[in-house]
Amino acid sequence: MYRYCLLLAVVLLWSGRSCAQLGLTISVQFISDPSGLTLSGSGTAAATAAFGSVQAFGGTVPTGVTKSIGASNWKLSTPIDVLVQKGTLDVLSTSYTLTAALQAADLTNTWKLNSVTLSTTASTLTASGVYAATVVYTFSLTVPFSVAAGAINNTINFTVTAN
Amino acid sequence: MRSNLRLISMLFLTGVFCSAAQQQAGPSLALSPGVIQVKAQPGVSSSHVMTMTNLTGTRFRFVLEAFDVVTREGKRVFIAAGETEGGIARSAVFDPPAIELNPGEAGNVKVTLTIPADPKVRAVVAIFHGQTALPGNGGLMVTGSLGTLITYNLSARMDIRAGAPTVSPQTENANLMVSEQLENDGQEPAIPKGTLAVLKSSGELIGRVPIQPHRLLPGEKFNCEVEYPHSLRSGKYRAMMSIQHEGGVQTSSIEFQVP
Repeated sequence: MYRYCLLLAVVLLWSGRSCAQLGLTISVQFISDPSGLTLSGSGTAAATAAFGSVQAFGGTVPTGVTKSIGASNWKLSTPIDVLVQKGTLDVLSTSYTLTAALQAADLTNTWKLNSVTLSTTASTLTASGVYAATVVYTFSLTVPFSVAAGAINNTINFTVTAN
Repeated sequence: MRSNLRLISMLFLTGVFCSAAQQQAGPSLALSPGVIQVKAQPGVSSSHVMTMTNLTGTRFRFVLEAFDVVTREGKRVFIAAGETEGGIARSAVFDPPAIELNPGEAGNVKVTLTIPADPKVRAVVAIFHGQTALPGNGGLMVTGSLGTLITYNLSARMDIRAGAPTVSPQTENANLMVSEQLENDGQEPAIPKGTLAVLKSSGELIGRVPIQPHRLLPGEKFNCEVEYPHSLRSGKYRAMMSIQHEGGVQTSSIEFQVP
């Protein structure tokens, strides 16, 4: 019986250490919003939203994308879901900070998440994000009429840190 | 025989518990630890190992970067290494400075940080900056980065300032809410936690609600909102907020009436 108790104690101590490490883990996923554009790679940490070929006047936009026309520009927008999780044992981190930045500078078009205009410098989307709650961010790309037709690509880098 | 069965059951349950925790993350990137708390002195170096796990089906590349975390107007701001006087991030040495992880692979990075003689900051984030974007047919690519928050307690000078509590009365659709503005007025990070107690005007305790711990860097503010989950009958009450941290306990109260 003593041997079993010793073995149990060792197993519990070992697994407790292992689970405590997991308890401090944070993770991030990008998910297609039910009313938004379907993301390739949805549910993982790298995803792509393919808007395809769209134009300011006429034509169609993909399902989940909204097009609006302004006085001097036009805008495409779609919601994207972000899910940040933490290990269940980490009680001291009750929220997270989420920032976003463009990988490449774009001096012509305007890239936004909700009301935050993105640049290559990280902008804070939330300083008090709630773990395990899917949060919807509306992405929008505003293109001036003066821009010639052509491909527009960029990458948004989301950074999560525990608070 | 009975003790053998008991032992096997406990081992099984332990395995199930750990396995469930491991599966929680999903097909994402996971960084451990998310937070490191250091107690040290100025001039001291410390090394910390961080583990990034790639749970996606894509090969990921990360470049390591350190930022100082400072508080401006009550909120945290990340400042690039070397741009803050008395910053710690400028001393960061990552080993290795970049990693690539295959699907399912985990990798360790050791960061060594040296606190300057006259440090002005008390926190750094070590960020695994994701460099991988899925190739797509034009448009928008998104990629994730994760950072470990490293906080430094260099002295015992902790002070949390609690504002006057306010009450949002209970309604048919909402419970009573008591809120209080907390501000870290000291020089060190603190993790205040506490209890909301609701008492009758006679002093009789009606109920208590624990206030979850919340990390506050020096200068940081937090609106601590606590929901009392039970319905109160009409009468006069007192809500007492007790905030506890390493620097002591602060109690404040407010009287209110339920019509």
